[in-house]
Amino acid sequence: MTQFSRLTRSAALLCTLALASLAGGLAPAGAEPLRIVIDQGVIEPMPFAIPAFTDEGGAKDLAAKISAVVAADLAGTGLFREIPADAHISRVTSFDAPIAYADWQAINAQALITGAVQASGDRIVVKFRLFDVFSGQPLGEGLQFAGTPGSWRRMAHKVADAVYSRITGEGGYFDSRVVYVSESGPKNQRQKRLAVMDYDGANVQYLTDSSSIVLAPRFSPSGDRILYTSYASGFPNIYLMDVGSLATQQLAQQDGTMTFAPRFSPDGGTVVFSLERGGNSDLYALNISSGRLSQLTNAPSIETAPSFSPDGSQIVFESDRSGTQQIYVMPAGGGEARRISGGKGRYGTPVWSPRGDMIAFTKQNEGRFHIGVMRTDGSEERLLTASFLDEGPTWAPNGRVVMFTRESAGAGGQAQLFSVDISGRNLRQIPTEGPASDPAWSPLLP
Amino acid sequence: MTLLPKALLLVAAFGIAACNNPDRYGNGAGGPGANGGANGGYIDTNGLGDPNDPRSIAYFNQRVGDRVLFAVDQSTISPEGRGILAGQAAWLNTNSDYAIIIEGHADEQGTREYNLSLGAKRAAAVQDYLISQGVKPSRMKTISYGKERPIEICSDEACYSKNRRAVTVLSMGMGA
Amino acid sequence: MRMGHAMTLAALLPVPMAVAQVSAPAVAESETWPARLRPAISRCWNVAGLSPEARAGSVTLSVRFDEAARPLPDSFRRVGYERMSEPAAQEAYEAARRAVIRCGTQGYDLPPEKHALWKELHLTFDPGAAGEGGMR
Repeated sequence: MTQFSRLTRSAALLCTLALASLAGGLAPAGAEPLRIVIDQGVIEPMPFAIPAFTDEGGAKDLAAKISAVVAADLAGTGLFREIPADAHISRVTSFDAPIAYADWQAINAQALITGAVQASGDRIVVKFRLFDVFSGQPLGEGLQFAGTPGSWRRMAHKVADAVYSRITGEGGYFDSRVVYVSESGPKNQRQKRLAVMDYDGANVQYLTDSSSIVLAPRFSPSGDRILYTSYASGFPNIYLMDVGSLATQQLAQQDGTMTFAPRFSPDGGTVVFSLERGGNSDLYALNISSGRLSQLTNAPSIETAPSFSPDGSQIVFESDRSGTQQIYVMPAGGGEARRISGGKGRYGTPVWSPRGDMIAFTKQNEGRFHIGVMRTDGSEERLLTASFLDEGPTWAPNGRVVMFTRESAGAGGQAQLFSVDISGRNLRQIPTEGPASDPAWSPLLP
Repeated sequence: MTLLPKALLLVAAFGIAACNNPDRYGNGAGGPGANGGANGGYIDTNGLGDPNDPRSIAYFNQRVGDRVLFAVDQSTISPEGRGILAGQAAWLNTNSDYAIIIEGHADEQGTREYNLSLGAKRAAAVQDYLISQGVKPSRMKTISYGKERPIEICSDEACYSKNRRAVTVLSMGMGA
Repeated sequence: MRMGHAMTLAALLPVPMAVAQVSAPAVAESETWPARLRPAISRCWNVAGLSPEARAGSVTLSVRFDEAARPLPDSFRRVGYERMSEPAAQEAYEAARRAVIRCGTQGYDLPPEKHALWKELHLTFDPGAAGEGGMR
């Protein structure tokens, strides 16, 4: 350990060096430079600049609208902060003009996004580049997306996803949709309709009228179908809807039973759900193409809210077999279940993260509701929210953000959609036309 | 498990004829005769008959008592509830033309899916009790509304205690 | 192996203790420049955008400084990483490089007479080594 003897003048250096050399896995000493360990970072949004994208023909309005959506996507994560255009020193007049890094450094922009839009007929092309301002170089290659003018928001989301991914090293989630229940009317006579929107609340489309109560829609893994529970037949039953055609079929219908809480398997071929008979709810799996039904649990307690692991091998669900609502994991074909929730209070609505590493859940404790996450073995439980009534988390496609329902108390209580980073930061309300509940995030769109 | 003959039955999601629909809360309140206030929105008050007529639905609802209440997170029938259900059973056995739907409800202090299950347990507990009192099973169906249709709308135990209920709903002409 | 023994020690030794020693009053003023450099870089090291994986690992970069103690942008090299995949290491490296450049545009407060000591440094960025910084 010759590093130690080279610099023994102070205990401080020695200690710093010792730690550093161990953390870094040092080469032999001699020419080794001094090493310093930095273990404290700051948690603050990264400042970025995004001058309005330039118009390369026929895209005068669209170009600025697209860069504005990119900026809103990034700022909305809480990880980035836009430096407003009136603070910019440099102007970007053409996509290929050299970057005046000093001008962007002067306003402390850490990242710079430039872009251009070209429109001709029913086709637009959006291209962008990302620059690391302080190291004075591009971050990765520029990219270009082509589509129809009507899909301009999606193209903006794709630019933002690429930027997010390049800087954070994780997949994005902006080019995605959310299916939810749109609500109206008083608490005791609430009207519910299925609706889908972009993840940021734009482009709302209603999928059902309000003639029947609908609950808890879920996207298929490819985003083209939706499972949900409806009272359309008079009794709660699960339905499958094709998002494109709105064609709907009732699944697993049996007289005298209630079916609910459906969710797709990762391959989209199986539905796992609760079936209630004679007051007792158990979990079942239905093969959609063959109609074959298999029973996964057989207990006198409440078994519901099943969710597959992303590899399809396991199912997480809630059960009150212990006397209170708790979370269990079992093999996807049924079998012995292992309880993973262990803290105080009641745990429900578990959802496996798309990355496979976490389970989000609703927790009730001492009169409050929380959205939380835990490891799949139940360890490292972390509560992200607290309110009168938070429930039903759904994961963003990248497993970094969850969206959920928050309902306010009292006679005028209303449900709204919120999202929160899994760090517990950046709690935000999703703008919807009216009250809304039961969100379910789609995968990233193709 | 067996193949379900009715699995994949194709239906139009909102094309079900209203007359076959036991969901008296059906979302589309506001039609003629709807009475969607704090009472939970009974569809047709006029059809209930005169509460002084001991054979009327109104008599059953008001004099016999159409509902039993439950403790928090429980589906056990209380002693008081057993008394009401004994009265219901006696009346139903006398007035055997009515079809019966038992609705189970929960208060808002619970997650949506769990409350659907809990409502189903409450409805089933009432059904089982009525069967034990001689009411024919073929006349009865159950449905759970979970926390979807509270009858009282405040967020206090005063309201919650009334929302944790199972309601015996009668209709004429659909009986077995 | 002494290295093995030291590894164990490192795992047990809480880093805040090292911080305390760096700033111990017994140390002469001229010798505390590493203690000054650490917070000077820390305040520009933004870990908010790092993925959980990149936050769990550590990355070491090499950088050279001119005589005014400004980092030389072309001198940055990634020299090692631990407890994460290569893509996460690259992400962590880029965030670390941004921190050193951004806070060093006016030059760091380093003693000119010790230029030989700091003209090249290895900086190990390890959010996992601290409590809050290692939050994931």
